[in-house]
Amino acid sequence: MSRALLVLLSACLLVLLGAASGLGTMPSFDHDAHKPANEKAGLSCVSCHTLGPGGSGPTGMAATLIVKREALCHGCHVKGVEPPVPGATVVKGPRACEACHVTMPQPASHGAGWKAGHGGDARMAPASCRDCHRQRDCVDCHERKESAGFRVHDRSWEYIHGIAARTDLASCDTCHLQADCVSCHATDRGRAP
Amino acid sequence: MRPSLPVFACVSLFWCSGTALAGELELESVAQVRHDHFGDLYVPAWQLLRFEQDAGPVALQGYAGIDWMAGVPAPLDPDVYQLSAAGELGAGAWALGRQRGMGALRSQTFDGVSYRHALGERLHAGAWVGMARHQDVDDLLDFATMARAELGWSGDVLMLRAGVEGSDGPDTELIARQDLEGMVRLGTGPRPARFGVRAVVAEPVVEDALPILEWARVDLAVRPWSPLELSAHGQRREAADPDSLFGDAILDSLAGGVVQEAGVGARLLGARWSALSMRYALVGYGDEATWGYRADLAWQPGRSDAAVRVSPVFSSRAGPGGQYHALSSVLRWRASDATALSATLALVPYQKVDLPWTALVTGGLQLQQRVLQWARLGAMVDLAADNAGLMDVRGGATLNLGWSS
Repeated sequence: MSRALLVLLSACLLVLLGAASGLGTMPSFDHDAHKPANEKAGLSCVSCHTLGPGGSGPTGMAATLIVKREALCHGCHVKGVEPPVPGATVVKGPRACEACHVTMPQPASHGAGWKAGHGGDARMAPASCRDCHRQRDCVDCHERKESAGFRVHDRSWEYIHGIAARTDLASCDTCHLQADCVSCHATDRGRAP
Repeated sequence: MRPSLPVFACVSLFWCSGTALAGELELESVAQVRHDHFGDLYVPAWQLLRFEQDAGPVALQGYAGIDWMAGVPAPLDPDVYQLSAAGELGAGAWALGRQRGMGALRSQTFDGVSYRHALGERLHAGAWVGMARHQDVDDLLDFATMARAELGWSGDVLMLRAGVEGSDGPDTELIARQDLEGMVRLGTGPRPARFGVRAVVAEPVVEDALPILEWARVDLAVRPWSPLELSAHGQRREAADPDSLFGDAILDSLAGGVVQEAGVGARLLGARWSALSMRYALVGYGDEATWGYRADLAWQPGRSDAAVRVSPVFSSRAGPGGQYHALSSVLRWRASDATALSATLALVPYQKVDLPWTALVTGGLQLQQRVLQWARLGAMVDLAADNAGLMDVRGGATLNLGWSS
């Protein structure tokens, strides 16, 4: 029995590792798709690349980049970000993050421990966040009220959040004020005992 | 209570102010039909508005809402969660308005002004001053004036921030805090590592009061092998002023004056931002430690253009308030570009302190339908049932309107 369980767990691990093998691949910039926009913006090859040898393929081309990759994309695809190439005309591109990010790996800055420590990153170097994010991205997760798109607590939370609050209250005050407890438990508004 | 004129006036005000602005605007109207915890029918509704607008060099942002509850004789109280104007002035960046969570340790509603000045490519100095607001159990408001100054270094390997802040109000004692936060990031290649530390020392400015180490935290994370991330952390928190209802004194009233924990975690990273993550922390409460724990195991499917995505989560907690083990999952099905359906299911055995075990089941369905380029309708129904006789069904509808220019 225990051997069968071991085999099953090993199989699961192999499947997960197989899924993980895609990590680290960066899709190449689709120059053909961006040709009209590049022309409109007044960009040529040397606007973004050095003329020196960089090698062939996406890795080689990336090595000759003289502008930051995120800034290169976000100059046209994110509102409020300046074009990375001086003098270039801003050409408005699709703003949906998913237009590009379904195929991109996490950026290097989101490496080990980023999820737990990103608050510190935002406090210490807010400018680096603004390469890709706006303040509304903070609000979306940390302050957004309950709605159809709510994505933090599920329905069962209503019944067990008191246990969690006494176990790990520090995690509550990332988003909640003490008044949020009060508004349900000490007034008529929330109708909670 | 029927919807009164002020309700419509406030909602209209939001709509009018929203539609008058260019930039980006989102309006969300939500209504629910449900029962409260005493079994009475309960109909809450709320209207949210969010906008972003660039006015020359000034960026404006706002996020506000109004709640309304049928049968609850509470005054309408529109709440502005965020209303800010921000811009740059030479090497400096300024912001003024309302925001939450400005403090080094506490989250609260804060009205004030901030300025951050770049002293070089890596070094910055910053300061803010304003009024923090907090609501106590009698629905009265505490106010405190707060101010902060800080100096920070932001390098590729080392980031460091040191600050001092103080708060004083008519109902709160004067407290000064010094905080230090630092992070070392080693390598950005396939094997990055990260070490973070944070410490906040509070000094109540009253006679015979000693400084308190309010918060000390250490984080370590490393990816020894590209898809595997290991982490460990330890922290200790203590309420600086357990007699006050202001700020994080709730730590003391709910979970003891001192909370300390040590934890480990692992994440197995997959393609397209997917991850299998595991976390466990042993938590101690009070100086004579009573122990509890928190544990989580979750699969995050990541960004994907797949039509069907499933996100299972197991979460377990034990502490002074009791314990629970929650197994839940969300299934999202994108039927077309305009239609999405999601289903949730959770099975949660839990035991509140001094009460018997309860088995809770919750489930729900939610439909999202884009009806126009700028309008999306949502409908939801869900239920919660347990072995003690609970059967709570609720339904709701959402209208999202969004414009961008």
